[in-house]
Amino acid sequence: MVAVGLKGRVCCPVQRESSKHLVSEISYPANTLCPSGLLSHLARFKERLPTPPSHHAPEENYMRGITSAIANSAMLMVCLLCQPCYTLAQLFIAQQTTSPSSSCHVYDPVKYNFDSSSTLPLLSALELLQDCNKLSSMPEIWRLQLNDDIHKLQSEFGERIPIQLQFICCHWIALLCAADCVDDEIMAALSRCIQVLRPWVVAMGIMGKMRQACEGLRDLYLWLVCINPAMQTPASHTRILRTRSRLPIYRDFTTCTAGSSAQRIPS
Amino acid sequence: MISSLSILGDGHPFIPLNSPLRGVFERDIGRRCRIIAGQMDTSQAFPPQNLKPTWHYVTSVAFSPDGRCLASSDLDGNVRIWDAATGGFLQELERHNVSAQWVAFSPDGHHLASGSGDHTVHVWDAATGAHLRRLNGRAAWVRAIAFSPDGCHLASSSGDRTVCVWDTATGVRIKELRHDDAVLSVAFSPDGHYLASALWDRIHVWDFAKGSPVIQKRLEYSLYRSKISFSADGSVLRVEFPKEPPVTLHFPSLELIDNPVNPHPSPFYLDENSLCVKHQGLTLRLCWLPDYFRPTTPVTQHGNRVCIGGYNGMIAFVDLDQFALPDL
Repeated sequence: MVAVGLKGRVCCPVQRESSKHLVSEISYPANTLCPSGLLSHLARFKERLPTPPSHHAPEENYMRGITSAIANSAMLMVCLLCQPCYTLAQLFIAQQTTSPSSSCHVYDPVKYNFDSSSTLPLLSALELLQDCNKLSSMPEIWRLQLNDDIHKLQSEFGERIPIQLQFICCHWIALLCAADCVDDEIMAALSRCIQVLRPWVVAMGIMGKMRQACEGLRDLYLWLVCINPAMQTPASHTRILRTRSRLPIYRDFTTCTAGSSAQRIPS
Repeated sequence: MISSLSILGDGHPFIPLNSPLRGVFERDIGRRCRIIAGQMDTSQAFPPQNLKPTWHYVTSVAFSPDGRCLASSDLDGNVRIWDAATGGFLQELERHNVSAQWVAFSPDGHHLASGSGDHTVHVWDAATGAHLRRLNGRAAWVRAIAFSPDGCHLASSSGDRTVCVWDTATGVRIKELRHDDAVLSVAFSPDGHYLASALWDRIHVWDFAKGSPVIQKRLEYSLYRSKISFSADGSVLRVEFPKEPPVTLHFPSLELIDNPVNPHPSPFYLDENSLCVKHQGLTLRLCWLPDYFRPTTPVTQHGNRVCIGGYNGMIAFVDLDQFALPDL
């Protein structure tokens, strides 16, 4: 049994035990790039998310845990978008048939009152999200300090990230999760957002929304790997392959790894 | 609030070496970090796989004087030598019967001494790993050891409430400094005239030649697992902890210095899991160690290289060669 998300798509949350089992069973073609860390990310992603704070766990420690999860999430995201994802699809197809159901974070369009039939708001949001790069102009010394130790942080942040952009930062993933995952325009716009992921996480952190950023990345991840049970293999492969071919970082990646191993696209 | 801005800097230098993310953000990763667990490089797989959680931890790490090697001791009695530049394993010395508590290189780098829970101190040839001498006579765990600046003497502190000093050439015990509690750490002043010893909550300073106490200071916190050391000019005595900012004392008064003027280069320290340095009155957090790494030793530094021992036999190697502090 699996959890059914928007539009009948099936989201397969990572299950720790079953994933470990799958990781040990799946074999990879010798010339397929599949970093050893990637599958462990997948298998342990959910595990890495810290448990909510209790009276025994101070909030500060929880937030430190979130930091690691965020770093992992961003890493996972980029890995996912620029890797030959045949093996990933294989993993999740197999997992879909073996793992028990579990709750997953799925965007609720009614709650946010977004019109998921139109891609225009989403495309605009993804375009505006690029403005998070303005955070790079803040003093570099601030990157080495705790937010609480920087007196001008909020005012400088407000100058670079206006309230509208802050709203987009908080909701772009929810908006994306309501969209059609095989839409060319959306995938192209999303591919341009990879470089802005880090500034976006920074913006969320300054707004005190690291937990939401972490959950958003998880939702994004689930949205990217979700598979329609009626046409699971073709759909997933098509989407993944089209994503790959469009990503500039994929080309960079193949360039920087050329000679060490060859890419093989499953037919 | 956490330091989210660090994500724009080098907030995540522990990216697996074979991850495409390295290619994407390579220019942003100004420092190289590796965490070695046993002989496994955890940066090949993040978070580390096949790692059995144990209470086995690294008790001490020490750079050789030339900075090329790093020695480590651990609770399982292992004394290992590593390539400080790469984190690569070089050799393992003959294992202690019980825990190895402390390692120290002689000032000329030729000898390596290790103190053990079997009440002995062993001296090794640092280049070959050959066992040279065994120093007995302690009645409890050897907690810490230190060579004198001229390399002629070796001091060891112990749970038997004494600091014993040996002649390194002959292995003869030449001095015993008695305390009223277990002695956790020991250090010579740069000129060799003084010897400082740390107890659970006190620091004693001795005139080494006379063997007489000079001054003592009671502190308000536990010095367990701390390391004491003198600054290069001998004017400051530092007490370093695995996970807290160091305490700086003026020498010889042992008065607490609230805002020490930093020597050059600035000493690094850990505040929880962030590697910090004081710079013009600001606490700068250079990188955040992953939360699976739990430090058990204070930061050990040689030039721009930093090493920290941790639980599960982990050692963090941080290379800050390419890192420059931004202008304020």
